[in-house]
Amino acid sequence: MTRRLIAREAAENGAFDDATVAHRACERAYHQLARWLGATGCRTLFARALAQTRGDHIALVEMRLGTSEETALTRVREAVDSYGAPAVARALGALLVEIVALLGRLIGEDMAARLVEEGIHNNARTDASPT
Amino acid sequence: MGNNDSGPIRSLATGVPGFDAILGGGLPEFSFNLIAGPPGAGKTTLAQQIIFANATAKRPALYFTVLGEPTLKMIRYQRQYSFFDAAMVGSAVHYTNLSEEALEQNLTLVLERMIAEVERARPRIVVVDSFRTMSGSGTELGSPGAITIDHFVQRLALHLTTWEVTSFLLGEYADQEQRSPVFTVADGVFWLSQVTDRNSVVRKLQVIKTRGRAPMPGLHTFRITDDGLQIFPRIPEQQMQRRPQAAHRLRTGVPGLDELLGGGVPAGDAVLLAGPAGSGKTTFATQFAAEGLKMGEAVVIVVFEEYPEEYLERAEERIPEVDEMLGEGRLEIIYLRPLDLSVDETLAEILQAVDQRGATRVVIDSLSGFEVALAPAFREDFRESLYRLVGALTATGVTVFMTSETTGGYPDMRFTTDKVSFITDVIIVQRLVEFEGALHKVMSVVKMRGSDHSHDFRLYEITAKGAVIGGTLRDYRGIITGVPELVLRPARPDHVGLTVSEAAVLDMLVRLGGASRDLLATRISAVPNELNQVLERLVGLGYITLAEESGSVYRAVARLGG
Repeated sequence: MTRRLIAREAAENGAFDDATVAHRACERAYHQLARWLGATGCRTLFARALAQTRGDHIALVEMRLGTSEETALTRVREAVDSYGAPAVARALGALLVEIVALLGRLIGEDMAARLVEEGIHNNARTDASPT
Repeated sequence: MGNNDSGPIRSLATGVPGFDAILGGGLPEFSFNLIAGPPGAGKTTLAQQIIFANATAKRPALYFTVLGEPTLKMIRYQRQYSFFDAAMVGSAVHYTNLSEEALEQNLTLVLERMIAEVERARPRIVVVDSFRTMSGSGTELGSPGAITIDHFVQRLALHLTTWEVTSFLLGEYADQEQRSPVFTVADGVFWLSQVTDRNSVVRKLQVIKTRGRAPMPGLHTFRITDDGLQIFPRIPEQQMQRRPQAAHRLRTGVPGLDELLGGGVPAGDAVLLAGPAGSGKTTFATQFAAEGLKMGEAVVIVVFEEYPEEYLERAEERIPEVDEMLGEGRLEIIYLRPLDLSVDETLAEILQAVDQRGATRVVIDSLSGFEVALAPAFREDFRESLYRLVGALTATGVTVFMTSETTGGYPDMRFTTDKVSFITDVIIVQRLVEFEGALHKVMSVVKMRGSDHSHDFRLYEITAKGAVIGGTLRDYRGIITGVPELVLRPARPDHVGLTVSEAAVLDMLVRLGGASRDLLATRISAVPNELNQVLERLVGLGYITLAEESGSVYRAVARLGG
């Protein structure tokens, strides 16, 4: 499912590098989940996933959660500059996987997939915007 | 899903067992409803149950979560219920979180967001959970175009009805807050409550109002199980009119008992069999049930004091056909023992079984167990509860056979279920009495409404094949004291030449039909040697014979009177 999310972004934003595509997928998932869970609930979920994934992906260490309702992650550009686009793309892909897994553990994999994938098929209320 | 159409207002089936009956046929479509009650009362579960029963992809349900239970947690817990269909989420059921808007205390923003979502999704049902968290934020101040909570509710209600939405606001309210404007605006108000008494929790639902419907009045108990809410409508007394019965009697299956009852139990009557522990009440009840099954009837047995398997095992010892009858679907055993039952819940279970099986006999074994199984709050009203239970059952035309344990010393023996006699048509009382050096089982028919019956005290025995009614105790007095005395009458003319002891032994044999030496010894408390002499003399005189039939049995010889 995470691959489908990223593939969708790649199809829509083919001109961008892999890191930007992965970042857009994260932002879209964030906005989709925020509709269901609320911005606070969604930020909490992202925070836990970020903490879980940082150990394996150094590119995530400098990234921070957005302070506004509109942005999931900040300092992505800086991470690309420091570690390169491929490493950031892998890190953000892993972050997405962790978010879906975490959600799956809480409400069941089928429900998690449903909540996240609804964003693939439906137009999100607010489109993801790159940093 | 609309049904029970009446005029322009159609009804929406709630999908909550018992709720439609209370609402008078379902929820008025496009109504604006308030589900109120304290935390943990079941408001969210009730709303979820309704949306999953009604939402479709074409006409979905919109579930707005505000500042109450976080959506993530709500979904996590709600999906444990059987009604929660994960496949409907995202297509037929949509969750939308409004916590950010609500946190800003900007009711205009909340309303705009709701309206936008409603216009986008065109839902059939909208739920706002928890509405109270918004109304608790008070009046919106400061911002241009600010609206008060009253205006917010009025606009929301108008908008949702215009968009042909049936809606539910969920909120935590105290009793004294029922004057809130929300209660005025709402078309329907459903109040959930729970009462904790010792270790039991009793949940109740009250329909405070429903516009365009005549709801069932009163407090209705409900239970939350893995299937969600199940509501047990309180049976009003006007629904308990007894159905006219065909004037026939049901055989009890206890040899000798039907004669005492003037030919059996009148169909549709309520029978109470009361007796002390160990008197064989369950045996009588089982025989009554088995007799119905043998006659081709269907039977429901309600047990409170032992598991159905144990009950069946014991029943099979005396009635081997029970297992076969169970297989035929003519017998249902209901086991109720949660210790927080309500009468309406019990009644609902029994009526459902009666309806499904087409039962004509219901055995409740026992009332004492039933009383213990009730939540403490209902035990206080046990008499009224029983009245409603028995009334509702006999109103369906079934014949009810109940057992009850008696307590207390003789002669002031009381039914443990105090003052239950008024609800019954037939009362049979069992006693254990001591005479001739042993405890004997004695029964009598105390009451039969509108019918003649025997007034004798009769001995009975619990044999391997069940209960059997025996002879009378006419030679005894003081039976109700529990320690009757044998009245030694002078030898009658047909006992010419017999001593008092010989005449007593002969009378006993006449009454029993036949008896071993040991049985006679216990019955008349005779010294063995003396009894041997008496028996030898009676045999010698031709009053009795000694036969070998599975042991030595003495029998009285039939003699012409005079």
